[in-house]
Amino acid sequence: MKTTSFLLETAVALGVISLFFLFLPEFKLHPYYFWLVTLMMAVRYGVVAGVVSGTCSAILFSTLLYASLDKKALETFWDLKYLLEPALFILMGGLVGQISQEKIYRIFEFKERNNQLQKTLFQIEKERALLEKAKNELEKRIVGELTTVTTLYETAKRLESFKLEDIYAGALQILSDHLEVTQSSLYMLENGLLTLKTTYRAGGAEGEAPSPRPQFTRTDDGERPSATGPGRLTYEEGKAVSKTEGLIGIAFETKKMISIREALTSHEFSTLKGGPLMAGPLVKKDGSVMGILTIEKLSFLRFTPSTMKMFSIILDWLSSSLENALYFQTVKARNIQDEIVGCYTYDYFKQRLREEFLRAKKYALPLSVLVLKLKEVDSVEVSKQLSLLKSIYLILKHQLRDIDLISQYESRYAFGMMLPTVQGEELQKIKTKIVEEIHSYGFKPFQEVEKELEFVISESSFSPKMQSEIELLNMLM
Amino acid sequence: MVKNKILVVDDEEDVTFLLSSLLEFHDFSVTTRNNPAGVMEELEKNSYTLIVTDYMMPGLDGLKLCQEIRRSLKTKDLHIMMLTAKGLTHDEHQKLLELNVYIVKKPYQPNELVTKIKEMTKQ
Repeated sequence: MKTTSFLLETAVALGVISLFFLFLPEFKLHPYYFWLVTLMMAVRYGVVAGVVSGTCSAILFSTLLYASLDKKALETFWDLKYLLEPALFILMGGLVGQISQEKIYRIFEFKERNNQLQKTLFQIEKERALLEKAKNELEKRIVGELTTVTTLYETAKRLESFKLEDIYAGALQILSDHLEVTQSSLYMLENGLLTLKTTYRAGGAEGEAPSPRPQFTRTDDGERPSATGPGRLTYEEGKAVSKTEGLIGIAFETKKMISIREALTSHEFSTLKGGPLMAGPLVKKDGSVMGILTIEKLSFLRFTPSTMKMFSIILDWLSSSLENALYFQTVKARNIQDEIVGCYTYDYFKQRLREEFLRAKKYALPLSVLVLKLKEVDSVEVSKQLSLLKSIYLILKHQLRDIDLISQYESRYAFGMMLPTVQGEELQKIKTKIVEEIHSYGFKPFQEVEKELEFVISESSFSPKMQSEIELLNMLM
Repeated sequence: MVKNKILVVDDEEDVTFLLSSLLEFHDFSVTTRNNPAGVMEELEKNSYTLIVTDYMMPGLDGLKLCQEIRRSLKTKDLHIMMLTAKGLTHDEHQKLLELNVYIVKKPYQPNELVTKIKEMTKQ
């Protein structure tokens, strides 16, 4: 409450009454005007304003009354009837002011509390806004992390195979999916040459419009992975590139990933022209380079430091997967026996046949090969299948000599038999014995109870005209 | 259908494997043993319909095994098939026949062997 407010208002109101009194002859002095001023101030401003305006009203009322009374009446001015009204102004001003003041205080308190609440609310609103922002950030991060985890998982899945072709395709697929690479190639070091293993081109054949999101498929049937949709994987056997020239040469020599942008700072454009945009080495743990991964085409907007960083990570990952797969292949190649069936592996058969062929050729010794192919065995229940294959192997083993070699032939469902010093009639006898022996067992491994196992045996014998063991095998067809 | 249980005993793993897989293809339940020691315990512990055993194995006399089988209350009715590569003496042959043993001379025809086993076990 402002002191000046009620004083000014009281002064104005009483001034107006005084002016009316002085300048309007028809204006009659009446206490109602003063009651109005006193009660208004008391109600509005409380006890002090009530008392002050009551006192002012009492003084003015008495003054104006005194001025308006004739001489006779002035003698009775100090009577109680003239003093009661002014006294009531002061008293009622104070009383109404007191009552009003409590309400004013309460309103004031409410206002204070309201203000306080407003402030608190504002603070809460501010905190809520901050929390909302934090929540959004957190959600973004969670989504980001989920995407990262998904990407990592997908990448790991594509590179977890022990089949080299799967890994080659997986690596190029990752480049296409995550870096929007529209053409990439993978070279492996073979016999001192960087030999092209796989190329990916978005949009299929060269010249077609590239698509940034090609789809790939993987095959688990032993065939090579393929790409469907707009993307196409090609296998260009034997095509080799120089390991000393261009961007590939730099990457091979420095064992570091390099982009054409970096290379141009130290190399002539003419030496890099027509080559890839980026090249990175596939490095073994011992530091030797086993291959090169190149990006020939990618979206212009993706040619950024973050893409290069990602390419570098993919290179590391791919190197590790390829090294493991190569090690696995080496170990597998060293394993000369099928652990379950017991016979030798096809690789070992080919290796031994090469040696025996050379011996036969050098010393003009007889050498024959028999291949037994079982029919429809892939439709036999797996447990029975293994039992059947081992039984056949044992039957063959019992029919042949210790110097003969029995192995898988191309697939698990065929057996190759290498028979040194055997040919002609003797070979026919062995063949007949094998056929009779297998028939004597009457194997019926199929779902159809009465269906017997069927098989074919093909044969070929060494001839001095033959130049390699391949010819011997070709005779089997 | 309850499968007939057969115990195949031979010291050569290849033989037991071939015989067992052949019989399994004909729906028999087969157990193999390459060590003749403990064959009687096995027969008394588990219930078999037939035993197919080699006559000559290290540490096992075929005739003696058959006599033990016939002596045991649990196995006295067991069908016995004896595989032999060795030419049996007249005496050995007679004794085996007395013990109701079916004798198969090696080399045998696998399908004929299966036919006989089916006949013996009524499968």
